[in-house]
Amino acid sequence: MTAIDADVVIVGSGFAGALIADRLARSGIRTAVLESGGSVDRGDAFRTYLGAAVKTPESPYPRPPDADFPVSDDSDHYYRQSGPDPFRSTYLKAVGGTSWHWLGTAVRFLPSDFRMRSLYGRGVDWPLGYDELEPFYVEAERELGVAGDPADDLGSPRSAPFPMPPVATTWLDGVFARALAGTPWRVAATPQARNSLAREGRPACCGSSTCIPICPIAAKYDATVHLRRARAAGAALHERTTATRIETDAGGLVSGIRWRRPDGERGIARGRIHVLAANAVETPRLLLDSVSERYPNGIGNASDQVGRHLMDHPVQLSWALAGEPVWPYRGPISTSGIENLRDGGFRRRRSAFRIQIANDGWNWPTGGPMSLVSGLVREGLTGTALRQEIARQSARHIQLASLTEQLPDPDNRVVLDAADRDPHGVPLPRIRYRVGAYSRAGLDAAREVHDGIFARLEASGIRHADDFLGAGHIMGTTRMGDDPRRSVVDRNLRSHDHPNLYLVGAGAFPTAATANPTLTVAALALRAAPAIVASLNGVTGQR
Amino acid sequence: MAALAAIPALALAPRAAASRLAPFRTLSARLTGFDIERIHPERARGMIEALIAAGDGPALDRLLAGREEDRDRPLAGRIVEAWYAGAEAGAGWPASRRFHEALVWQALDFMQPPGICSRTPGDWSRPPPREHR
Repeated sequence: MTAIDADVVIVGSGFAGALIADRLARSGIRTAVLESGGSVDRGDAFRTYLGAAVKTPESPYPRPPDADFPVSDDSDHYYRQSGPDPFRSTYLKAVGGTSWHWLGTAVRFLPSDFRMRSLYGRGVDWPLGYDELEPFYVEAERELGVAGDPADDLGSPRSAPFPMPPVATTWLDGVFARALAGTPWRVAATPQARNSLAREGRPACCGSSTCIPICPIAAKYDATVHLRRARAAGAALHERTTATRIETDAGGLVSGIRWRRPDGERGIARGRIHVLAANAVETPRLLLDSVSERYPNGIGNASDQVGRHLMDHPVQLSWALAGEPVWPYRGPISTSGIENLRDGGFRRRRSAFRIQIANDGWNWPTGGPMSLVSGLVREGLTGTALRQEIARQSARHIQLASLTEQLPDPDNRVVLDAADRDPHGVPLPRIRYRVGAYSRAGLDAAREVHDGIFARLEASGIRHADDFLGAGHIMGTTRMGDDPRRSVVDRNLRSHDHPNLYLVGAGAFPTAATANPTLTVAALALRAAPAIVASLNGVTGQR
Repeated sequence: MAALAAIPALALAPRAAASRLAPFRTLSARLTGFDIERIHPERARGMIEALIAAGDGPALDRLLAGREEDRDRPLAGRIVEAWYAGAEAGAGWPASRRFHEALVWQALDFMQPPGICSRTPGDWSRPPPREHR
């Protein structure tokens, strides 16, 4: 039995784990990170992507049996789905986590997003407000390197400028902006964690357009940035090391985290503080599986809230042919959006949504120009006529994705499957999930707005996905709150039940809002780091 | 296209592919709408071998001789898709190159193949130059 010893043990090396590891290590704290997946070589991953038959977000990345994860083209892989709706969002296990294939959108929550109950009678209020988190949004933007338009705070007041000027918007964005002038739909540049200039040793975006699934040049932020810094400051990173069980002592403190490696080696990682940053499926999975006589519902679960309130941003996807060439498939996947539909009294009745304007044409709904070829060939086109038609149509490919807000529902949850286990013996995650009427009404409203936008662009061939898609935003399953009976962690992300256990990441979100979660994950993690440091001084429990 | 993908290149008598190479390239150029210079001989050779191995030799020969019948249309379509989609064409052609050299990107001169930097930084803010439209 091998022992890993540190002051702080972190499980998971994605956005939250990497930021906290960096902060702690640079404060001189002995930090160990356990990561189930392995290292990713950017060049290898890029070449794998180029050769992949189906270009899903996870296609570049290794997926060994001992670090398996859900996949986009088979919702029954890894997940066990109870329904009634399929849970379609996926993630990676790798050094750097899912940050490898995120889009890079770095939008703040709106002040109202923290007060859904008080303002709109829906969901719950967060235990902290926008003003309290705002300085940490500033830090997060600096750490991730966010490029944004200083002229528009998009409804989220700012105390500091963006670290970088905006990434150049596309010609396509301009077509939308001009066509929508005078309508209620305002096109705005999207803040994103993507270098618009060379910064901190990484190049500016060169328009590779493969942000999802991989930025070939590391212009897009990924968590290996902070993992490198953390390791340079002395943090230990243990890859291919899967946490399998949380141990506690007689006093109710977490005493260590058992782990396994694919070669059969087993061990325990002991810290004075333990941080779970494994994402909103894997963190509850580990907590729920760590059952004992004293904790029959798992660790940190006296509230019976662990795994509950699973949320995503159900997406309405729509696509069409613009009335004029817009020259898509250039630049980052999205550089503009419509952000002014994210708040209002209507949130009493139906979800708000943010609209992502796609630069990458029909890639998401159909696979892009390649799929166009198949259809045209089937229609009998060949030769010059085929070639010209491919070009004529592709130049007009437009697509909108609206991210709706899902309300917290205790019956939307991650539980342990009763039968199926992974190679380490840990039960696979079983998902119970319903999109819900509130989001469905939001999806309907989004469809109507998409029709209105397409009409202004004189679009033809309009199509709406007939069912929602997952945004890859997994939230809510270890939620924050002041009341230990109705939440899992406090406002500092510390477990209500175990004072030396922190649960970070988007699992902490009590509500989902309409913003891509990463920037808020980062802000909360940067806010938790000093609390972790402070509690190191206060924790007297010994291993 | 799946059939082309699944069949490994066999060690055929080189003459079987070689003798068909020139007419196959001519056919492929006509079917795809591209100049014959874009119809790479190595890929063409690999495709011929794969088609013969899959039993499509007689249909292929009808296409090459200009004696195609209605039942040969699907094969013609598969050949077009293979060129446009960059499907493998026998051994020795790295997957990454197949993707980037797929003709679909050459039909879309206004964009770069995915994963390749745009011609100049920030050029996505402007329409593509006329010669690339």
